[in-house]
Amino acid sequence: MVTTIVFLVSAYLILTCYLGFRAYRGSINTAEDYFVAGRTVTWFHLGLTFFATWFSTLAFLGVSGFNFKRGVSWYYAQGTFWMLAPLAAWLLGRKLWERGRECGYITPGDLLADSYDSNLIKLLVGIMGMMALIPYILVQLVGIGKVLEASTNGVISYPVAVIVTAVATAFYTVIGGIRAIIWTDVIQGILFLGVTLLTVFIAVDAAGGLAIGLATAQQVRPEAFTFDVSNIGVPLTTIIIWTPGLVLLPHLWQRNYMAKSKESFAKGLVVLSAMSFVMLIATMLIGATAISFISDLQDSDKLVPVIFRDYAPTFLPLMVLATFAAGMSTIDSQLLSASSVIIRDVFGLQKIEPKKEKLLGRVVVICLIILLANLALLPESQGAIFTLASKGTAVAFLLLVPLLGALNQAPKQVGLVTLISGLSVFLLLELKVISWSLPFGFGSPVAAFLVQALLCIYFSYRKLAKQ
Amino acid sequence: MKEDSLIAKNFQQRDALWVAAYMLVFAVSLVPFFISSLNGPDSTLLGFPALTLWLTCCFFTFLLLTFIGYHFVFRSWTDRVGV
Repeated sequence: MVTTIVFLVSAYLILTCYLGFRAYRGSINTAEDYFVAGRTVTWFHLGLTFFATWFSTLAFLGVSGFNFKRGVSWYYAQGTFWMLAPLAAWLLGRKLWERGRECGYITPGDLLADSYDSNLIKLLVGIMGMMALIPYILVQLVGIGKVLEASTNGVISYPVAVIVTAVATAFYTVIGGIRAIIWTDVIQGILFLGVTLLTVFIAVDAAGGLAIGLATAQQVRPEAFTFDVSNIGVPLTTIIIWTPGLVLLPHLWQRNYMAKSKESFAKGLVVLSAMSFVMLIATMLIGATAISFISDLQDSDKLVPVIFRDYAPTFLPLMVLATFAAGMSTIDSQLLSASSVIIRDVFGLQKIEPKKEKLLGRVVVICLIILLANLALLPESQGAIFTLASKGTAVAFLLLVPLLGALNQAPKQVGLVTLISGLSVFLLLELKVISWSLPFGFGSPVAAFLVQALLCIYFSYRKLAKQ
Repeated sequence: MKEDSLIAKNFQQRDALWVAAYMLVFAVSLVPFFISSLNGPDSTLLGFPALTLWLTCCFFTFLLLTFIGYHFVFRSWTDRVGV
């Protein structure tokens, strides 16, 4: 078993490094090619890279566990934002594609700073981008390290797993850039979708069939199949902040720049929708039917490994490989995105020669992965990382109002005021400096959004009144 | 010029209709939460847990809307935007 896992993971790492080298051979020596593939991505690759990047280790392991633990409340939130996300990408993402093509944008800061004519906005967006990206990369590294150590009974120790993952991901990201990432995303996406479907068959079989399994689960834990309306704000907050995530998270924002044509962009969203639906039903069935045959699980993240361990141990190496692939497919994208955000948004170096920017991008990726791998090896930082990672999407959500303003020619003050006010309100509420919350369980990102929206409306009307 | 504005108008109407369809399905998905016969510990529909089946149907409808959107909304955008 352990030998099989080591063999599969090693073979997979060699494959990703080969793809990185192939991408390097076919690349053009510009930052636009390195970070956004020269805006030449076709529909199939676009759909798969959106899918593989959007669905991380969290989706593969965590979501099934959330369905098991929280039942229909989670299913409602997850299903709604997964299926509405392509709509958000259609409404906003195509505007990003058009503007990106027209003006050569590479990062979120490029578009917002250009629209509002403000370098301060660029810096703020860059800092917020890093807040959204860095903790999430760390969570993936920590997650992969733990899974590999546990599944190999320590043959691959946690530090070795983290270092090997970091080195391999950095290698193909550094030499191949976004093209290598997209090629590996295609394989990674198909792999973990396939293993997820395999998990469904195992779980449904263990439950004694679909109808019997769901009926038994409803008897065992009926509260998992009812919805608490008094707390409707909790799933609605998840839906509100995650639905535009396909556009607002920096590494996904940049994918909106990459389509070869309008046709590619539109078809890519259809591919993403179809694959999202399959994952949605699969993870729901895994979690829901598992209620009928698993009773004492403290950590819901362990649901899928437990199902394989107890009901299909022969396929456990595949599950480990899929987890590994899911994590790498998110780490590589976020790593490259963080590199571009640091260079262009934080340090404002977008006007340097394209070849130099590409070289600098590579150097930053290497520096970042060394830093992050070291952080992942510190056990005392892991608790805070998980908390921060969950807030990353909320921070990215604060870019929605400034983006809407930018796309609708809002006055310059809107960009700066909404960014600062949104981030301030969010941090004041999250850090409990102000003890206040919205009714019905709505979270602090929604409060921040409401403040941003009001300020945007105020300044927009002031501009109209002056005219 | 006149032809362009007609295309633009049709395009915006299709966009709006499509978004309205999504929002309608979103609103409909919430309805059973407020009906005790569907939101109860023993509630079933066609032998399956009621809310689970209802939400699955709503999510499938979202998927259908994406396909419909590709044919009726995306394509009008592609025709409109040009190369």
